[in-house]
Amino acid sequence: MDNIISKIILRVKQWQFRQWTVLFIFGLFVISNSAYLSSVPGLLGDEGDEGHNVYELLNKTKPAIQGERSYIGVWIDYLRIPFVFVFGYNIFSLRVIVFLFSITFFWFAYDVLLKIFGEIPGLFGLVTIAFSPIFWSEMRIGWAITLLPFFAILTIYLLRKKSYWSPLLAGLSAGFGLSTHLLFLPVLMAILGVLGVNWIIQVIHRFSFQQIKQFFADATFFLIGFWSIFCVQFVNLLINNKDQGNIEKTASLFSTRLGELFSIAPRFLSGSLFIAQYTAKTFNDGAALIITIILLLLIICGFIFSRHKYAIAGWLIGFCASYVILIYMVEYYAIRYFIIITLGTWLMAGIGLGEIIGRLHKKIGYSLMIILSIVLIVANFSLIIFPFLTFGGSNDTFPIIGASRFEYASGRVATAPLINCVSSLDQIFSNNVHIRNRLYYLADGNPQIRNAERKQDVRWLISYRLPNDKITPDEVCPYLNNFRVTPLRDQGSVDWPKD
Amino acid sequence: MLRVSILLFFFLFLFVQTYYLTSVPGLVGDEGYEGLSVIDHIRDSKPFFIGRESYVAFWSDYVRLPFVLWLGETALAMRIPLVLANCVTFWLAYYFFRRVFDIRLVFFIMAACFFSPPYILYQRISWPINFLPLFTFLLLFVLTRNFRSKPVIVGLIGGLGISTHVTFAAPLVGIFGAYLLAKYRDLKKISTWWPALIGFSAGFGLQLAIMWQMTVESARVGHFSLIIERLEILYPTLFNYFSGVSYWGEYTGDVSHDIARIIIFLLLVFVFCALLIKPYKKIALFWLIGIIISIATTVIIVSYFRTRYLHVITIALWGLAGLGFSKVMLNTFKSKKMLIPLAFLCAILLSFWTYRAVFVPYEKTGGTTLNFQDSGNSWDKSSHFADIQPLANCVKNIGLVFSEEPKISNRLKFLREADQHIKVADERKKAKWFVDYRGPRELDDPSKNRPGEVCPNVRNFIVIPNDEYVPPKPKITNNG
Repeated sequence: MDNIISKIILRVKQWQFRQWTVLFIFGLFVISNSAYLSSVPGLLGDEGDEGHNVYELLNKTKPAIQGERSYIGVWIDYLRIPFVFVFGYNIFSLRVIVFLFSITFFWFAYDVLLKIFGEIPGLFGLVTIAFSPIFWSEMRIGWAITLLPFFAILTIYLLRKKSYWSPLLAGLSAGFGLSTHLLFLPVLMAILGVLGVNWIIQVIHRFSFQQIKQFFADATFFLIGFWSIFCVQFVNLLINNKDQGNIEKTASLFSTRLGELFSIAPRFLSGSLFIAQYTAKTFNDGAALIITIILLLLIICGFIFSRHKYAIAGWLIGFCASYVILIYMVEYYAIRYFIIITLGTWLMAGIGLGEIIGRLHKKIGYSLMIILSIVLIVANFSLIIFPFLTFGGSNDTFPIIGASRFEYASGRVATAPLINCVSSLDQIFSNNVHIRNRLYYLADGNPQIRNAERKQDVRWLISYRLPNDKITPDEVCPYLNNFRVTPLRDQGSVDWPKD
Repeated sequence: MLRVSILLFFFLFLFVQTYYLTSVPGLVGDEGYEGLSVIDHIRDSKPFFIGRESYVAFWSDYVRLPFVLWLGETALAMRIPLVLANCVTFWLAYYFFRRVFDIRLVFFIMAACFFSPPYILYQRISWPINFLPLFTFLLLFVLTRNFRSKPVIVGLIGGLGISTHVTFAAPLVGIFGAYLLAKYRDLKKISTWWPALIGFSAGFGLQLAIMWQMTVESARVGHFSLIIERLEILYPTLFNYFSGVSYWGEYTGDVSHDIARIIIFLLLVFVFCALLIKPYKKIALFWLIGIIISIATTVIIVSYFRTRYLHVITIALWGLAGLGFSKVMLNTFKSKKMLIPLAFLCAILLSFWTYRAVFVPYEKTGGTTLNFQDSGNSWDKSSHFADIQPLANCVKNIGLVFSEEPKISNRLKFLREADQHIKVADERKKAKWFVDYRGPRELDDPSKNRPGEVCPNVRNFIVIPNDEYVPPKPKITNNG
């Protein structure tokens, strides 16, 4: 044991500026990502629903292999069980898993980016993605879809490894990704597509039967690994398909969605929409456009200056392809669908910046990397955390597409004040499914939250306090910024769910 | 010489396998049910990945599908894939045994496995469970080869085998138990076998998910609370199954316990020979341990005993006895020139014995509806093996028929796909005719024919007017 410790100490003593910089950046990443983990944002409705699934599985009220939805895997629920046992049914136990995945993501991304794009560009790419407002605002939420970037980078990492079993493990990772959420499919197709084209180019360049044989062996292993995990979700997808919407209608509106894309691109690429989910305030369109242009210019610079042009082109094609497939699959635009493409844009912009700075002295590059990390953290705190903490979020709306389609920020409002309020009340209910999902999950571990079990039992109704809602005299907890708790006057106003 | 010998041996095997393939037995009850599942897939009327039952893989339906499309809804179409699988099994077994044993012994072991009455009588019926010998020998074949991806392939075969029918768990556990014991010195290397779990999951995961989703149906597998009851009847069950008498009881309804005793005695003698006479004593011991572990696993996982659940184990025991017999022969004759023809002779004698004891009586009578003592203290009917073709000929053009027996109804429904003159009602009140098995006491006794019976010459079935028939109301057309 002493020998191991002394070896580690010796190794650390040999560290140079580069290693210390990476460690420092990782420390910043850990601190930044764990800050206010259980309070910013408040519990999301869908997050609560996924958490409640854990309770249902433990109480055997649903089949053991069924996740929250047919397209969301159940394995993550089983992973949540020990955390729920240790920390209880609260926000932290859902998010700490995601936090652990984020930490792992950091190191896999570090390995992949450095090997593909070189030291300085790779690290700049990592810093830009890991400290971006998009990562901070989305990659901390304890729902399944958050894990997709992790599985994407893990799959790439394993596909690039030269060990005998790595195709099998890459397939396993891809299977986990697609089982986690069906929206991993575009990412997976893009990864395989780009690698496939790359392989074809290599085969054309220097043909050998050995290469073809190796490819088929690897592809078989990949498929075995993939299917070993995805097969369970496959059955779920095909048997419980009622929650998958109208596939034909979704496909028919593809061109409409594609047409809208360019008009809204600056809003999501700049990170404006992600921030607005917490504060209901978007950047003005000019600022969003400038940020987007800067990002795109950095990408172009990266491409021009880089010695890894093929790699950059491959990644860009991959991101675009995955996004087109995603637009084809989804019924409407939701902000979470923009995560991968936006993170990809920031990543490539970071690599572009790294390519420019990499021409200077390396130590300057590392120093600027630390400065960039701190600047982005400050931006996240000032744009997201502090405004959110002041008001506990907002129920206001913000525009997504032009001035025609708006989104409520109410999905992320702080839930702690509401829980404090309803703990003294009996038979509570909300007509809003997202509020109800949060209450169900939190009630699983808190007997003071007493949800009504039958329509006729409901005594208190909970709803969002919309911007123009005034405080009424019968309201309890009138101090709540984002919720209203009112006594039930009329049974007819209870919209009891059918299931 | 060796190549010619094994080819001749194979052709003998093929001849025995295909002899009376379509008529002995006639379309079996569950075969009709399997056939209906194939038709469901042709018509796309159920999810493509769901087989006949939740614990039966869908792939066996798709293997039969082209043959049903090509040859129509017949027993032959259902059985050809199994014959092909048996051919593959034969060669896998040959290469496996050849790798493990002296070639002079291989032919005897092959004769005991592939010409034993249990094999001949069961490996012609198109049930998914009858693909399990293929998976067993495939697993053994792969296990005895050395290549880097072996763990994942072994896992995949194991998974596919269990998804074909969950009772494959028994031979799988038996083989691995014996393999681990045989390789206990290499147990440190067990950590290198982790890819086997991935392969296994790839093979079995889909079926496991289906079993989880359709839990009610899957409840037939694994009634752990009844283990003690199963243990109590285990000895007489194994006695009937290993001797093979239960297998021919299903064809003829006739079980001779005297013959069973003789067969069991001979089997035990040769198993002891395998264990006590050199060479390969150690391998014989592991073989026996594998069989014992498989039996124990079967007791745990099945709800009740059926011949088909212990079919692979029965063949394994006959194979082990074959090894013992071959050692006796080896010590007696030594020469390859003598031993291989002797093995041929054994194979021919075993086949001829099966032919005389089962095929001939079945061909004469078309099976029977007699009960026979099956597993321990339980009795089973031979009726689901009774030839349905005379009944199918009888009910042609007589209008709608109905049977409360699913094994009659399923067979008729499958056959009606090929012959539109056969009409089967889904409800009793809609059918003009009621079909049932002829009771064992009524067999071959014309005085006991039912009133109004049509086709009294059909031996195993009765077709009588349906007393619950409600004629459809005449349609009133308004011409005015």
